[in-house]
Amino acid sequence: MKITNSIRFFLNIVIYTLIVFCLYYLYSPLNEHPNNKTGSSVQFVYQQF
Amino acid sequence: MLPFSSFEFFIIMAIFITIIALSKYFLKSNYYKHLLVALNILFLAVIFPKPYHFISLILFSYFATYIISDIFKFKNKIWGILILLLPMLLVKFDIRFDFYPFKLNNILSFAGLSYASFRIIGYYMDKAPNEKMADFVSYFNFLSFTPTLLIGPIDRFGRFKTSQDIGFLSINSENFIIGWNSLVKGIAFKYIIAELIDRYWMSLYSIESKEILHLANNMYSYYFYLFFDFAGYSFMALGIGKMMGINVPINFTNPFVAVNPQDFWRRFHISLGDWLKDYFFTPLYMFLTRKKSLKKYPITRQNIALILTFLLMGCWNGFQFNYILSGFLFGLFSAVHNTYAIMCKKKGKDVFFGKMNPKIVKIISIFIMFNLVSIALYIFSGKCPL
Repeated sequence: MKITNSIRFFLNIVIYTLIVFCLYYLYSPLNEHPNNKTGSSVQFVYQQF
Repeated sequence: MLPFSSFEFFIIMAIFITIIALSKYFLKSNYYKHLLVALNILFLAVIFPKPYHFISLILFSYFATYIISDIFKFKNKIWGILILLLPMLLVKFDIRFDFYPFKLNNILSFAGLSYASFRIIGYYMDKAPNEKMADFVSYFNFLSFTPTLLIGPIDRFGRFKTSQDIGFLSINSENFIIGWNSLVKGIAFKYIIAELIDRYWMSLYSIESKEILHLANNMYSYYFYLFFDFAGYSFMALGIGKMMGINVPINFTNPFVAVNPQDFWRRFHISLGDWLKDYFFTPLYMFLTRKKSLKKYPITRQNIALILTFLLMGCWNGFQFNYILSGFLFGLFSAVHNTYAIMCKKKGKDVFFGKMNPKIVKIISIFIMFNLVSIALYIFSGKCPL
């Protein structure tokens, strides 16, 4: 199926909405998961020193 | 603040990108590198923890490279490498020269030291004996380019300089869109997929559990987590680099479909694999070729060089048993595959799969490779309870 510009535009909107929703879900102060912070690569770097 | 460690970092990068984009209309193209160095210094001095330490390392490596290669002109580069690696070796071996009021290890150990050391060695190895030293501004930019400061990719000076010399010409809407897409991909990988794996998959079972299903769950989840976390970081560095006018090399291209160890290292942490191949494996293999006792055993030479190369990779991560064992395992996988590939070539047929359908062979190879890598990386993680 040929992806036309309008389909691509629509897909972009869906993807960006999903990303924003996920970021809000994961990092919002309302999310009370004990790991509600990130920086895992950075933690790995710190582990080395 | 460390790169990519908080939301504010992205705000700072947005400001940097805006400054570079606007400067395109006010500054001549050859001032690009000066603007870049000003921004890099600003980040190091104001935002990066231990700024003077990093700047001191750049100054030390620049003048040490000049003295070693242009004044003393060491023929054997191993001495030069050891001198340039000295700060990293002191930290990795935890050699302490603490005398009041100085604590040398506290001065030397800072985030990004390992990657900077690899770039420093890369520059020294690439520099021809009679070649003039690079200008200090380009060298400073090469080592301190903000998006790649912390965890690479390990760029090469030649490639970085070529990209830098294009200057403001590479600041255009086309590159901005490529960079933006890469940045969004990196954000999705690192801050969403890796985080979801970490919170809801990796923590399903205790890391101390020795039940086979729990072990398998922890092992596979760690491989996926590591990939999305690290690849996410690399894509973000690539994206921001592109928007700032520097081409950062691609570091990951779907390692889950690798069919053999060689293929895996062309897909996973590509810049480290290339670095080890060019600056360690090849010189070591040439050295072993000159050894009389190994002259008749080319496969043994290759396998020794492969295992030592991956052991070095393990040691580079730290002198801990899990890093060294995982490095050894990767070396062993490569040596076994190398022997198998040479045997297939000699006999003119596949000595293991015979005349099996190539598509099935590919699927089996991917399955084997995926599991071997999962095991080696699980050991690398230090979370394996066995």
